[in-house]
Order: sequence, then structure tokens, then C-alpha cells
Amino acid sequence: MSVNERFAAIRKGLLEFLILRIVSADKVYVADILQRLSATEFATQEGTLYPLLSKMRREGLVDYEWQESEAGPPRKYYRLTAKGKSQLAELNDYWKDINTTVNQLGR
Amino acid sequence: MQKVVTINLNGRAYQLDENGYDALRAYLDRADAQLKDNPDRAEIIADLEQAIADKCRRYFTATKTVVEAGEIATVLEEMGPVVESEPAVSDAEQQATDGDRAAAAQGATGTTTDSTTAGGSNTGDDASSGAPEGDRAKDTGAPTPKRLYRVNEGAIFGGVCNGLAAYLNVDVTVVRVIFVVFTIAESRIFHVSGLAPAVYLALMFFLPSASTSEERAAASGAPFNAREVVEQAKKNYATYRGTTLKGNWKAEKREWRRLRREARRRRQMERWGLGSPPPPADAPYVDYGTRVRAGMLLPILMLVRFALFWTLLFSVISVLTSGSIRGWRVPGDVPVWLIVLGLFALYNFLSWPLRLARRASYHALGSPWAVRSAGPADGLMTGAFWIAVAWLAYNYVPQARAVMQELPRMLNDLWDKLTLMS
Repeated sequence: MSVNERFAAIRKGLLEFLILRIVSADKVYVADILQRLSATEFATQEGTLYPLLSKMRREGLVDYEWQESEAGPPRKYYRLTAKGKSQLAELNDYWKDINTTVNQLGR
Repeated sequence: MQKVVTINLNGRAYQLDENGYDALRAYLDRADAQLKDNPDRAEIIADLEQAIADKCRRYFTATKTVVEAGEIATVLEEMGPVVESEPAVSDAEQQATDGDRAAAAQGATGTTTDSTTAGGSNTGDDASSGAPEGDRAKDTGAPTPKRLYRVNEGAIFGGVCNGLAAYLNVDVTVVRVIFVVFTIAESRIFHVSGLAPAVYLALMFFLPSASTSEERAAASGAPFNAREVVEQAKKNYATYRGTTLKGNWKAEKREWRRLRREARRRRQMERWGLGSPPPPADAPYVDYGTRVRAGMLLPILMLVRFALFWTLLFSVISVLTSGSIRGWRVPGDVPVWLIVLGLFALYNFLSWPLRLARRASYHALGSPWAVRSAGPADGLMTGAFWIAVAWLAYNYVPQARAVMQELPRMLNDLWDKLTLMS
């Protein structure tokens, strides 16, 4: 089992966290998010991202608004809701804790 | 050669070859099955469609307008499988149930309730949960530009009333009643007669008929996107599957008969010098404007050809009877048969570009018109058209009336001359 496969479940779990981080930094639409992720270990495809964003919106973490674009039809721009922001703060703290734990245990 | 399927992804027309269309349909079917229990299914599918459309755009050039199967495959590869993001199911389990779920959804589409909920009503539901109502329209695809077409499905005569009804979004009966009432009452109110039928006839010639499903959607301005195509395809599939058990053999026989009929008609058309009909399904896409122009050109070409033909006939008759054409005396030393031959050559020479233009118009109008033009119904129509023209000329053009009254005598003279010569 390669490292890549070993961490598949972890990456999957972290994806939502990363999307929250990306959306918190800037008002983005789906192509932006995919582009930000593309060069990383978390490279994602539309087929995964759209359902995930839809789920996050149902849970009230993100919301979107329509904006006209110069090229093509209007786009959905996502931003964090208040709930999303508090969730992100929580996850950030938790992530820091995990990092600390990982670093503390052995070397 | 491949069949081309035109679909509309969020307000833009895309042409895919058949394999590409099948792949896209399969992808969207699978997505639909995956998101079966998702309350935002319609919205997610619309988003996916939009993303596919955006990705397809890069394959277009000035000369290339069809997305090929390989390109669709690349696009769908980039899109990745649609994964329902419910945390409860692990990756491996999901993979395992993928196929089963798709199969289950396939089975379920046979029922009408499933087809309808997947279509329009779902989009209405999630309007409350998301963006404001106005934005929702953009989500499901900007409405196709509305255009006036003839709609032959359920038409009584030429489909003009039907097309108008679709365009005005009213019941076709209303349009028909207005048309009939206007036809009867127009002489009393406006002191004209025959205006409504004339307008009808003109529209029948000018308007292209809505022959593709996209054009039928455009006829009523309905939004039309891949999902609807998929729904329609599913419904067709369901009915096909319903009949396939008991009617397969019959359907095959019917299809075979149809092909044979088509081949025969093709041969006949070639024999009659109508040129080979355009290939029915693979005809190049011709835009609305060209088709309207072709529709207007066709009767004009018919009239010009008609006039030319009668000019020839009268010239020949006139040469034979009086040895002169409209005051121009044939030089005495030129034999009459040479003059007649010359006239025929001139006629052929003049009508040659007309024939070409007519054939081009037929091509532009697409297969239904061109193929049907050789059929008996169209023959009747053409006959009725010329009888109408003759009647009008007889009643309103004195010269034409004089010529027509002269005609029997002229034919008698011709007959006498021919019998005298032999």
C-alpha cells in the first residue's frame, strides 16, 4: 500500500477543512478552488467538489451568490457564513493540536 | 460518418457525435443515480452540466463545431466520477455499491413519477433553499431564443397555427379559431378577402419547420438542456424496453420496410432529375436565417422557372404557327427546327443556375422538406398552388386571360401543322 493510498481517507476528511480555508481567504468560484488544489496532494475534480460544496451549503457553512463573468454565463461565488467561520476557527485549532501531537510523539 | 446530436447546455448549443453523446448521457445518468437521495440533485447536475459546457468550449474553432467522442471522454475524465459526499459511506463501500445503484436507478426510470420529479419540479423545490428566484432561472439555463417555426407534430395542415401557438404560448385551438374567424370575417371588417389564407401560405413557405428537439424547444422558448435530453432519452428507453419484449420483431420489420421505402424514393428522385436528396440525418447544421431565406427563395425560383418554361413553350408555338417571336421575324433561310432546338438550348442554359439554386435551397431546408417534396402530398400541394396562380392570373391579369383563351386554338393550330408536315 503506497503512502498515497494509506492517506486517502485522511485526505478525504481534510478536503472540507481545506475548502473552508480557501473560501475564507477570498471570494472564489469552483474553478478557483480546483485550481488552488490542483498542484497539491488534494487535487480534486468537479465530480467530487460540486456535491461536497452542495452539502456544505446545506449544512450552512458556505453560501454563494451569482456574479456575471466577462466570459460565459454567470458564476456562483462562494463565501463563508458565520457558522462556517466559527467552524473553521474550531478546525484550525484542532489541526494545530494534531500537528503538535504528531510532532511531539517521537521523531 | 457519425450522427450528430445537438444539445443545449445552459443556453448554448453544443453538437456532439453520437458516441460522445452516449458517453455524456451515461455520465449524467450515473451522476443522477449517485445523487438519487440528494435534495440538491437538480442543482448539482446543472452545475456539472455548466462545467462540462465550459470545458467543451476549448475544443471549438472557427471551423470545428462538433465535440468528438474522444474530447468528451477527456472532459468527463477531468470531471471525475460524481461522488456523493455523505460522510457515512467509506470510499471502498461506495465503489462497490456504485454499479448496483446505477442499475437500480435505471430500473426505476421506467416509472413516470421518477422521470417527472427529476425534471422540472426539483428545480422549483430548491429555489427556497438557495439563491433568490431570479437567479434560479440562470441556473437551469438561459431560455433558448424564441423563434417562429412550423410545428408539424399535431398539425392539421402546414403547422403554422401550431408554431404560432407555441410561440405565443397559447393553446393551438385558440389560434385556429382566430384564424378561421378572421378568414370568414375579414371581408366584412377590412374589405379584403383571402388575406389570412395568403399569409398562411406565405408563412408555410417561409418558416422552417422545427425538426430537431432543440428547435421544438426554441419554438416555444422553453429552456432546454442536457438533463431534459437525458430525461427524454430515459423515457424513450423505458417505452422502448416496454415494447421490446413483444414488439421487437415487428419493430425490426418496420424499420427494414422503412429503409427499403427510403431507398426506393431516393432512386425515384434521382430518376426524376430532382437530384439526390440530402442525407436525412447527417445534413450539416443550417442556421435559422439561412433556412428562412431558402424558404423564401424556393417559391420565387419555382415562379421564375415556371415563367421561363412557359416562355419557351409560347416561343416554340409562336415560331411554328407564325414564324415570328413577338414581332421578331425568323430569317427565311434558317430552318424552323433549328430555331426550336436553339430555344431549347437557351432554356436549358438559362434554367441551369436556377436548378442549382433550387437544389441548394432544398439542402438548406433540410431533409423533411426536400424528401417530402417528392411525395404525393407535396405534389398535391404544388398542384393546388399552380391552380391558385392560374386562377388568379385568369381573373386579374387580362393578358394572361387572353392567352389562356387562345390556348386551345393555338394547340389546334400546332396539331394541324404537325399533321400537315407528316
